[in-house]
Order: sequence, then C-alpha cells, then structure tokens
Amino acid sequence: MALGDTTDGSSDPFRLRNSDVYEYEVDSPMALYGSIPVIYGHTSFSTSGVFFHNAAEEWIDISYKNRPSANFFAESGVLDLFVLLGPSPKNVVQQYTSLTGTAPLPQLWTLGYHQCRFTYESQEDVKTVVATMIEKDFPMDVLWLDDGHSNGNRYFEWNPENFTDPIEMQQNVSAAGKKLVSISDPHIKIANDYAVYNEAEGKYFVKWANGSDFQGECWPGMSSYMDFLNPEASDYYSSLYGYDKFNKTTETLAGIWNDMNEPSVFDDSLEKTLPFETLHYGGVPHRDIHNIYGFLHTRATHKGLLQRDKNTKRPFILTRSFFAGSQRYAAIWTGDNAADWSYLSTSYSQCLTANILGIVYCGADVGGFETEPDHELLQRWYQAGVWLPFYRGHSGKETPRREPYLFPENVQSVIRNALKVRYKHIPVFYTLAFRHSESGDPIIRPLFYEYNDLLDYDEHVLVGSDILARPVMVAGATSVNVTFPGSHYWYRVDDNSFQIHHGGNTHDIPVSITTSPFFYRGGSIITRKDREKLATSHMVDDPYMLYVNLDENNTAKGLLYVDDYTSFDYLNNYSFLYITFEYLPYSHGLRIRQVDGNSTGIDISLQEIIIHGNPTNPHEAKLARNALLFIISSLKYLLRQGIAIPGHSDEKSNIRQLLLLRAEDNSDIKSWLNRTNYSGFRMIF
Amino acid sequence: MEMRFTKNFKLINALLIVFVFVCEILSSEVPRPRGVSLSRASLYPPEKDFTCFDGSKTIPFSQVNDDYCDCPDASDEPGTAACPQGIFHCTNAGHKPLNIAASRVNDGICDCCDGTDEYASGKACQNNCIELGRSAREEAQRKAELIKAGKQLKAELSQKGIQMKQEKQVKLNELQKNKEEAEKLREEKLTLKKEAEELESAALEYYRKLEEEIKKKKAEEEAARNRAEALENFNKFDSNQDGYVDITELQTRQNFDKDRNGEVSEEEAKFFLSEQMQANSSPPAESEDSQGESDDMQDGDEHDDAHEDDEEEEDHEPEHHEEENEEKPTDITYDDETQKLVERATSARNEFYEADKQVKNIVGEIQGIKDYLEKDFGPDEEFAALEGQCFHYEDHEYIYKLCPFEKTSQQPKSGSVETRLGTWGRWDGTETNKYESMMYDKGQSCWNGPQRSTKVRIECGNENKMTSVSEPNRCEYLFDFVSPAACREVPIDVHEELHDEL
Repeated sequence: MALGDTTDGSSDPFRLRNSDVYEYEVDSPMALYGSIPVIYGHTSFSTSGVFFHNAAEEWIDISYKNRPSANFFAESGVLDLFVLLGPSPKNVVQQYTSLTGTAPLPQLWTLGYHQCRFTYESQEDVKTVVATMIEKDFPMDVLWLDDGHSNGNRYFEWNPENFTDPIEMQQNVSAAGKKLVSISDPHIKIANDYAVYNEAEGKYFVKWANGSDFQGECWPGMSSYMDFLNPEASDYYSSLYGYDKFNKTTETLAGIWNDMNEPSVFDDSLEKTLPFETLHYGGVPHRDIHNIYGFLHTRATHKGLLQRDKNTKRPFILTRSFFAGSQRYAAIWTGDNAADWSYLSTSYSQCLTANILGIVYCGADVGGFETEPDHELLQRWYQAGVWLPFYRGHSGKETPRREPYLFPENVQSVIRNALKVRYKHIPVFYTLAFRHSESGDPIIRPLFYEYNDLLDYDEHVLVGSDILARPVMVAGATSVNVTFPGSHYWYRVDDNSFQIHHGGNTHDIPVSITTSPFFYRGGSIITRKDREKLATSHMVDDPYMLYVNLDENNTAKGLLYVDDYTSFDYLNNYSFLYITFEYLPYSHGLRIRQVDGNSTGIDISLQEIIIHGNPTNPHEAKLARNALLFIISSLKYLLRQGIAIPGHSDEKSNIRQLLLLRAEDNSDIKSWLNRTNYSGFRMIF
Repeated sequence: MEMRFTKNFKLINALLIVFVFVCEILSSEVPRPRGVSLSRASLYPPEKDFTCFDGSKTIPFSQVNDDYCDCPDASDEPGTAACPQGIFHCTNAGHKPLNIAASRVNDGICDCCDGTDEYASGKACQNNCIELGRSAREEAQRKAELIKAGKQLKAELSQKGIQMKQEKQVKLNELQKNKEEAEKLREEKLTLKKEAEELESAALEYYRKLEEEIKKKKAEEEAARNRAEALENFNKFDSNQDGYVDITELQTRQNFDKDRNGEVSEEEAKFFLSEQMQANSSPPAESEDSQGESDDMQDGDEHDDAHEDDEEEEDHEPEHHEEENEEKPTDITYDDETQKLVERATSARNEFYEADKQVKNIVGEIQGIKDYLEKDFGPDEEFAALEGQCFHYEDHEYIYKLCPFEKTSQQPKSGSVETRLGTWGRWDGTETNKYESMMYDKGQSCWNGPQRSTKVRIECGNENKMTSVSEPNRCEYLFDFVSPAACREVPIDVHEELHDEL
C-alpha cells in the first residue's frame, strides 16, 4: 500500500486517469480504472492527509528525499484542496469520509457469494447454473448477466434469441431464493432500431465542438456516449431502469453492473477513452471531468434503481470506474485481473487501500478474469476472497468455464468450505457494514489502521478489529508467516483448533490446502450463523452462535446489528436492533445491552455460546443449551423489570431466585439447578 | 431495554411440549419424528431415551428435533436444520419420496413437493405431489413407449450393421485369397524382370562408358568457359589491375548504386563485397557454381518425390533412375540387338509394376475393411448405419453438421467456408454406458486458442436427428443427437427407492 519513490528515475509518476487497462501491471504507477486523489502520510505516531478535489487527469510524483513529499500535477481545473489533520489513521479516514460520504448500508444478499461469467449465454444456462450450484451444495446469492443477456449490447433490451422469457427465468431464480445482476454500460449503440439511441440522439450524448455527437467504437460497434453531466440526460438514463422501460424485469433483477465507464472507447490513438476536447453539458470539456465520468454514471443508475423500487430497496451497483465519493453509489472490483498469484496478493492491497478511502465494497474476480487458474490458485483465491467485502467469481470468455462444481470433488470441497466460512460470518460483515455507514470505519483494515507501527503487511487483513486473516498467496505453501498485532491473544479458527497465539509475535503457521489461516482476537465476541444455508435469504431466521474469545482477563465483547436487510426503515423509522454482548468474568454471565434503534418486530434467537479461553483457565467450554436459553430469557425478564443482573454464586442472587422460580415448571432446569449447585455459567459447561 | 427473543420463547415454552404431538400429526400410519422415513421410524421409539446412531451420546427423547444438534452424526435432528450434515425425508405421497439436506428445512424454499420442509418458515408451500407424480408417470410412460418403438428400429439398425460387417468379412476373406494370388503373380513378374534387366545391363555397359567420357569432356569445356568469363569481369572492376577489387573500385560502378541516388556509397560497395573489405580474383565464378549446385539439389529432391513409391519395393534398383535421367541428354543410338534387349527389359518392368500395383490395391482395400471391422459401432453394431451419413442443425447464424465417425463442422449461413469442429475420436460416455456420447477432437484451431472439439450426446429417439447445438466453453461444442440406435432399457435405478441407511 505504501507508495514507492517516483523521482529516483526508476518509475513514472503515479497517474490518475481512469482507463480501460487490459491485463494491467501489478505494482506499477500506471493509470487504472479509477482515481481517488487522496494521499495519506503516516508514521507510527501521526497521520495526516490531503484530498485534491479535481476530476481532471493527474500525475503524482512521490519523493522520499529529504522529507517525504508528493507533487500533484493536474491537467486542468481548479485548486480545491482539503487537508486532513488526523492525527490517527482512524481520524484521517473519518475526516475524509465526512467530506466524501460513507457507503450506505447495502442489502444483505450483496454480501453473499456472486457467480459471474463473461457471459452466461442463455436463460437455460442461467437456470442450470443456479440449479447446479444448489444441487452441489455451494452457497450463492447472485448470478450475473454479462452482455450476453442484452440484444447485441443494446442495454435495456433482452437478447431475443437466447433470453426469450426473462420473466420465467427471474421467477425460477427467485424461487431458489437468489438474485440476478445485469450489465449496463454507458456507450449507446448507434442503431435506428434502438429506442434508447433514437431518444438520446443529438440531445443526450457527449458532443464535438461543432455540436455533432461523438461516435466511437465499443462492444456494440459504433456508439455514442451518455452525457451524465447533463441533468436531463442523467434523468432520462435513470428512467430507463424503471420496470416500465426495461421490459420484463422484476425485483429479482436486483442490481446493476456499470462497466466500461472510464469510459472505454476502442481506439488506441485516444488512449481508449473520449477525446479530451469533446464537450459535455454547459460546454465543459471532457478534459475537466474525465475522472468523474464513471462516478456520474453510477449516480444516475443509483437514482434509477431508487425510483424503480420507489425508495423501498437499497440499490446495488458495481462499477469499474470510480472517483472520490463513488462509495455513496457503488461497489467496485479491481477490473480485468489475470489468473496469477501476483493478482491474488495485489487484490488485498487494492481493496485495503479502497477501504481506507471510503470505498469499502471492494473485491477482485476470484480465480482471475483472464487466463486459466490451476486448481491450487483457484482454491487459494476462494479462501482469500472470503475476507474481501465483495466476493465474486468471474472469468473471461477466452478461459474455460469455472463454476465451482466443474472441478474434482477435492477441489469442490475446498471451495465449498470457503464459501461456507463466508456465509457463517455474514452477521459480522453486516454489522461492520452498518458501522461503516455510521462512522466511516473501514470494513477491512490494514494492520496499521489499528496498530499504527505495523506498516506494509498487505497480505494481512483485519475484518473489523476482531478477525485477522492471513490467507495463502503463493503456490505450494506449507506455512504462512503471520504477524500477530497488539498484545492480545489470537485464536486460530480455520483449523478449528482455537489455538492461542500471542500478539507482538510473528509465527510460521502451518497450512494445508484445506486451511487458510484466520484468527479471532482475544476479548472479542464473534456473532455467527453456523447453519449451512445456500443463500443469505435462507438464513434470516437462523439462530446466532456466539463465539466468546476471552482475553487474559477473561473478558470479551461483541456487537450485533440486525434490521430487515432490505429497506430504508433503519433510517426512516429507526427500525433496527443494535446490541452489545459482554462476557462477565466473575459470574460467567452474559450482559446484553441495546445500543441503539427501535427493535420492535425484529426477532433474533441465540443457539449456542462457545467460549474459548486460555487453556490454563477453566472457563473454556461449551454452554449447555437448555439452561442457557433459560438464563437468557430470565435475563431478559430481569432487564425488563429494571433489576440488576447475575450475581456470583450467591444463593440470593436475583438470577438464581428467578431460575428457581421458573424451574418449578421445567424439569430440565430444576435438575440442572439441583445438580450444579449454581455458581454461574461455569457449572454448566 | 427492548430485547425480543421471540424465537427463544418458542423454543423454551413451546418446543418441549409441542413436538410430542408433532410426531403424531406428521404420520398418520406410524408415529415418527418429523423428517424420518417410514423405514427408519422404528429407530426413534418415543418411550425411550434416544441414542445417536453412532452411539456417541444418549439424550432424552424430548431432545430429538428440538432444533439443537446433539449428535455429531445429525441423527437427533432429522426434522430441523440444526445439524450440519442432517438429512430430512419427505414422504411426498403421490410422487417419489425425497431426501434433502436438513439445512434446507425452513429456509423459505419449497424443496419437497408435499411442502413438509417448510413447516415454520411462514412460506406457504403447496402440495403438488399428485400433479408432479402424474406428470412424472406420464413422462416415464412416454419414455417407455419411445424406447419400445426405438428398440424396434434399433433392432433393424443393428441387424443392418451386423450384416454389413458380415459382408465386409466375406469380402475380406475373398480379398485375402486374391492377395495371395496377386503376390504370386508379382513374384513371377519380378523374376522375369530381373532376368531381362541383367541382359540389358550387360549390353548397355559399353554405352555407359562411352556416355561418361562425353559427359566429362563437356563438363571441362563448360568450366573453362566460365572461368574465362569471370576473369574478364574481374578485370573490368579491378581498374588498377592489382589483382584485388576494393571499395573505391566498386564505387565507380553505377550498377552497385542500390538506393539509386546516383552515387555508390561505401556501404553499398561493401554490400556487394559481402562484408569482406576486398575480394581477390580467385573465386569470382563461385556464385554461378553455387547456383548450379542448388539446382542440382532441387532436381534430386524431385527424383526422391517421384520415386517414393518405388523405394518401397523389395528390389530397389538405382540404375533405373540414372537411365531415365541420362538417356535423353546423350544422343547415343543403340544397335538393334541392344535396343531389343532394352525394350524387353522395359516391358518386363512394366508388367512387374502392374502386378505390384494390383497387390497394393488389394492391400489397401483389406486395410480399409479391417479399419471398418475394428470400428466400434456399439455392442450390436447399431450405430453402423450412421456412418457415411451427415446430419444438419441450423441456428440463427450457423449450419452445423455431424457426420458420425468422421467429423463435425460449422458453416455460417451467409458464407461457404466450413470450419471443422472436430474429427472422430472416440466414444466417451460414462462407465455405465460409454455409447451415450461421442468425442470429436482435433478440429481447426481457434484464433489465439485451443483446437476446436465437439461432444455429441446421443439419446433415444425414433429418428436420427440433431436437436441442439451449444458452445458451453469457447471452442468446445456440444451437440445433442437423437437416434433409435441409442434406445436401450434403462437399468432400474437402485437409488430411486431411497434407501437411507446410514
């Protein structure tokens, strides 16, 4: 993540010019798909930053001679500069997101697994993939429709040959509890039998100085480009997403993929984009706003989806081109990567960087878009992808198909397990998603975000502050080198050992192809849903598991956010449940507190509490369920009465009194109380 | 604090009491816990404590199906999603019973046609087992009829196939006999040829020597002429007559002005000196010589090609080639006697070649039949009739062609160029039926990609017909083909009965 020196003659300056780069280079200052003109300066004791709010092409020279410096060169525009004073990484990120916004809470399904391919050929193909994923027990929430679904890249029109009954297809997908996302690019095919072109021609496109529409080559052939700076054009474009305009679409087509929006023009003499002298609304040359073209595109799509669903659903958009603030409208992915280990490891640097720049919904094409991954790389990529907020398998036309069920059983099983690990942690991601929307705190974090002196650990990722993942990113690994930050215990989870590693150390952690190391922080309570379901929509009513990971003082805390996973009720009616769990070391009780929200109508249930601690400490064990459920309901009763919660082994403690009372009509609890000489939860381990 | 643990209440207050009659509601015939098949009902006696099937634990019966996983083998939770590896059984009265992963219980998706898997999710599943069962039975009946009719056709096909192979076998025997005779004849002709050629060779010996002398003389004259010419040219360039041609000398000669700028630059001069700074007078004829050499080599190549077949003969006679070469340029006339011998030898040779050709033809034919006989046309030769035929399928862009046991191809509707999608490779069906698909590989290479290949899936049908074409992977095609030849009795599926013993 740290930027290299570009003034020592070894490198060009970093270039910010949103570009359709085919097989981009890893570790290069070359221009990529998106630009965020922000730079953070960080030392172990202080952090600050600068946001250069300018949408023209920029070059940035980084020098470490004398004092570290960054020189920004912009092609045009005004000097609009924001200085972020810090002094901690957390402060800087909060300051930056207070300027450009946070990513709003997404729908739950967007955090599941996405299956994509360039391109699923027909509605039969789509239905077969969905059915086979279910049959072969692979969790998946979304299937993606690349351009094959469209009528020769006339977006908003279905392919009349292979998608003859899109409604039936959507019903089929919906019945399985899944969703679809379809692609919609900003180039508009020049064809007089294409309604969108006819309606936009001469009015809504980017123009030459002489007033004629710019025309350039892209996927559909000669095309013109929507001028999203034009409010009328933008509104017109938004309206195209309506159920009345985009025929035969239903709610199952739940998200939109805005691709090629740098924008890409297939002309190398133009460096593959619009000529800088073409004009936008108000005579603004493309030169001035090049880097926000994609941003404006997603803004129009976002509005379109809101309108389409009458503000009842949180829009989901994936964009390739982005700018500062794009997080308000869209998720990003790292573009056309390739099946190579270097792209796997760089996906972590890319998404960690995006996360501290507000764009938290970031992922890379699992397996690599171009070329064919070998089985090891594919499995490792699925394991690493678990921890990036956006989790999508995708593959290029020229590579063999790659749906997980196409591989030998041993490979399938590794992939299946990776997907299930992701699904079990969906409540963690969702809670972090809410917290980000409130505070700007990234969902995934580089180590230095929480531990300021640990810079350059790009293959480590903190999911929130409580999960540390360090996946395998090289071939043939038998161990990975893990740096355990802070002074906490870290419990190893991927091999189910819950073995403790002490913070402040670096260890070689042994791995096999079935293990991809991740750890829970001592002092945390991780809320999971462990029932193995095939989509997030199937998990809504599932009970929670609490993984209590004790610190050296035998305490632990956790957070949980729950709402309807779909609508804006959490904003409009404050309708959500936001609670903390706290493990009480002396009573071995669990304190539950509501932090915020109005939880009326929101039901949750707890299945089990699994406590891990220092092996020299007798508290580690599994709580027996009936007793626990009794206790929780009793706690709830006491809480409602405003009565203080558990005591010690005090015979007169409120909780014991209550339990005795309730035990009158329950033989289980009665025998348990008689058997255990109650002294807190410990006795029921 | 507004905490709602509604679910918990359900669990706590209701579950223990509820599931006692859950068992009763579920099965009218035999009381058993939810999600348990009839055949396993006896493993859940409600009056006893329940022991996990793997024996790992014994729990009160009240904890069966209480939505908490006690048994590592999932046996205590057949009717809930609590255990990771659990199996839920739906009776599906009217249709086939089904075992589903217990994780699909109450997930909001109707997996069982009787809807029993969604008893608490709020999802209203309709019981459509009767309809499904009916249409499944109709479908099965339709298939059975198709197979029955198809088998009739298949019997005819395989009869034809067997007959064809038999005919070929008869033909083969015949040919083998013919081959023996032809070989005998060839042997005789070879003897005659050898005799005639010995006489011929002896008679020609005198002329051969004569010819060599003439040739030698000619070669010497030619060499002398070449040298004289070369020397003359050299002297022309060697203006200062020092016996060397150097750059400045060449620069005065406009023929060396490669770039036609009116001047011979040093580079240009050097070019013609072929990077030697000087050329001395000894090798100027070399270029012509090497030209001659390469011509000779080409001639040689041609001979080799032309006589490739002859080389396979048992009696390879080099004189034969030389004669053909040298007869023409030398204007020697033989005396009558020799001429006669030559003619006799020639006709003996021709007769031998004729006999030899006969043998080869027969051998070729035999090989063709053997190849055919070795071809795998199915256990009863039922696919034999497809050979030599081609079948077409059109989509909106292309015409696809399947020529069984030969190739698959694709041709744009608007064009005439055919692209080969594969060449007959092998049967590549499953272990239980290898004749359910064919592989045609080694087709034309894709641009920047692999060689095209085609898998042809064959199903029972009452005619031979291609029914669909797709390209599931780039350059990998999938054809669907129906044929009576593929009609076979489907072995009774043992899994159909859903034996669910662990």
